[in-house]
Amino acid sequence: METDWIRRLKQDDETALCEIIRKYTGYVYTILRNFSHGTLPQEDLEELTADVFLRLWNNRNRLRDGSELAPYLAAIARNGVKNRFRMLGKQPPVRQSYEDLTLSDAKDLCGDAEMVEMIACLLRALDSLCEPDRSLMIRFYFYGEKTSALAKAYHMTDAAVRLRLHRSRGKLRKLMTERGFDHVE
Amino acid sequence: MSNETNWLKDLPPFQPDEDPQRAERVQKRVLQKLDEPVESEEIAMKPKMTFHRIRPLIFAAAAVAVGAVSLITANAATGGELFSKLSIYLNGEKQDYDVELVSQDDSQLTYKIKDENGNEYTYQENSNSVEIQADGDVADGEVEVEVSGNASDLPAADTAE
Repeated sequence: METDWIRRLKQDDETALCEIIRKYTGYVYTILRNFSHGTLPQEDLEELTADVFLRLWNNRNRLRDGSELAPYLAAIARNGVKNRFRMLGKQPPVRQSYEDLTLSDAKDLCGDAEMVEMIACLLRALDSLCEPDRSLMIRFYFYGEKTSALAKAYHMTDAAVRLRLHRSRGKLRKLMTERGFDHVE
Repeated sequence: MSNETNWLKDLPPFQPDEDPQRAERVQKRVLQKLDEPVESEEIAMKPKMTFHRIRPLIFAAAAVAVGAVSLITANAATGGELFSKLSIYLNGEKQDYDVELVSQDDSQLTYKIKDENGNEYTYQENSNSVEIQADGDVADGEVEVEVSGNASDLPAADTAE
């Protein structure tokens, strides 16, 4: 279905965008809420949610066939939070994100082809991790979940979650560097 | 979605905030905006603030524009290691600073840096990136950031990892 959506988006089909909005509003809103740590009012979160879909639409011709919408939307959402806080002259409450994992100095995520490629590469790298490390990484970096929530859900201590995240980060950095998304320590 | 990443579908966020009415409101807002003229996608910035990502680790190099307030971001400076000394090279001139770890939470370390003139800087680092926010003019030229020392030189703080 997602491939079809991307194809239809590229054909300027607004009904495809509406279908995507209906499916992913909750997903995007949740990520925005998590990454803002609940500091933005609902009105702002909904505005940011709308901006995410607008950005998807404005960049529809850059989407690669077969690419995933969910991580792409998550990236735009997270970046939207970051920009909103910059507008307010504040630091975003949560600043890690999965683009940090690449240690790339790519410019802020604007939906360009490089970002799409980077996300695809990162997903492949994540696939090499064992569970629950992969899920922890996704939930922490993609969804902005707190380590305390992860600890509770995975029946671990908070310190154990952080340790696993730390080790997984190291593995991913190595993999991403090998695949051309440097940087190297 | 490729087969190798099917697991992503089975991993939604905790407590997803699903609300059909919200989806309708968002859709309405998006469709309204689609009818408006397209604006350029400039990243909103704090006035007079420059933001640069630079590619360093322990050393960082980048051009920094003139500005009353400069924010320098260096990727992956220390990989989360604690440190007690910070050196900033501006146009090749090295300035050394002692740093004080003032807070440490789930996501980042925050250091306070004071120079000999009493100016204060904030140096924030999560495990993969570093930001330095400084008041004062920063001339065009190269900036390098170097950190040194070790955790034993720092005030007591719980280590995250």
